[in-house]
Amino acid sequence: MEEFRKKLIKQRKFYFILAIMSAIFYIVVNIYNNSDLNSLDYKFLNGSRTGFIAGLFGISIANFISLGKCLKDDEKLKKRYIEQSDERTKDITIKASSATFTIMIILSAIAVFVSSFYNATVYYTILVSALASYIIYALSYLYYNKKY
Amino acid sequence: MKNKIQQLRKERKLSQAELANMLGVTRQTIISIENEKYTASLVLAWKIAKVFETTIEDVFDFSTIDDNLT
Repeated sequence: MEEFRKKLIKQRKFYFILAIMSAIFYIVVNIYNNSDLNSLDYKFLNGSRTGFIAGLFGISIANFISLGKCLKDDEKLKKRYIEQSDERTKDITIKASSATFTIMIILSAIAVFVSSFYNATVYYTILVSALASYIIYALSYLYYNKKY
Repeated sequence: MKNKIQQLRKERKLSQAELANMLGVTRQTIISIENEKYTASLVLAWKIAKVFETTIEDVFDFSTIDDNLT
C-alpha cells in the first residue's frame, strides 16, 4: 500500500503542475493571438481552445483534490487501490481499448477514402492521422512482443 | 468457468464484499466469477483457493476445458 501511496503522491504533483501549465498556457494563447477578431472561424477556434484548456485545468484540479482526499483517508486509499488493481477492470479496459482502436482504424480508413472525393487538405489530414495510428500500433505491438 | 466459490463462501458465511476485500478485488469481480462470466487469472485463482484452504482444482471445474495436449 505504501508503494501505491507514493504513486498517488507523484500523480498529485503531476496534476498540480498540469493545472499551473494549463493556466499559463491559457494566458499565453490569449496574449499571442493575432487572428481577425471579427471572423466566425476565429471565434469558434478560440472557443474550442478555451474549452480545451479549461477542461484540462478542471480535470487537473478535480484529480488533485480527489487524490488529496484519498491520501488523507486510509479507507478511500484502499478502495482506490482495489479499483485500480482489480484484474477484471483491467481486462475490461484492455478489451474496450482494443475494440475502440479497431473501430477507429476502420472508420479512419473509410474517412480517408470518402474525403478523397471532396477536399485534399482534409484527405491528407485524415491520411496522416490514420498512418500515425497504424505506426504507433505497430511500434507498440513490437515493443510488447519483445517485452513478453 | 464453473466453480464452487458461492458454495464455499456460503459454507464459511462470507459475503461477496468480504471475500472481495480479502482478495483485493472489487465485489463485481466476485459476482462475475460466481456467475461464470469472468475467468479468474492464475494468481487470483490461487488466492481464492488459499482463502478457502483448498486447491485450485477443488474450486474451479477444469473438466470443460479441451485438454488435447500435444
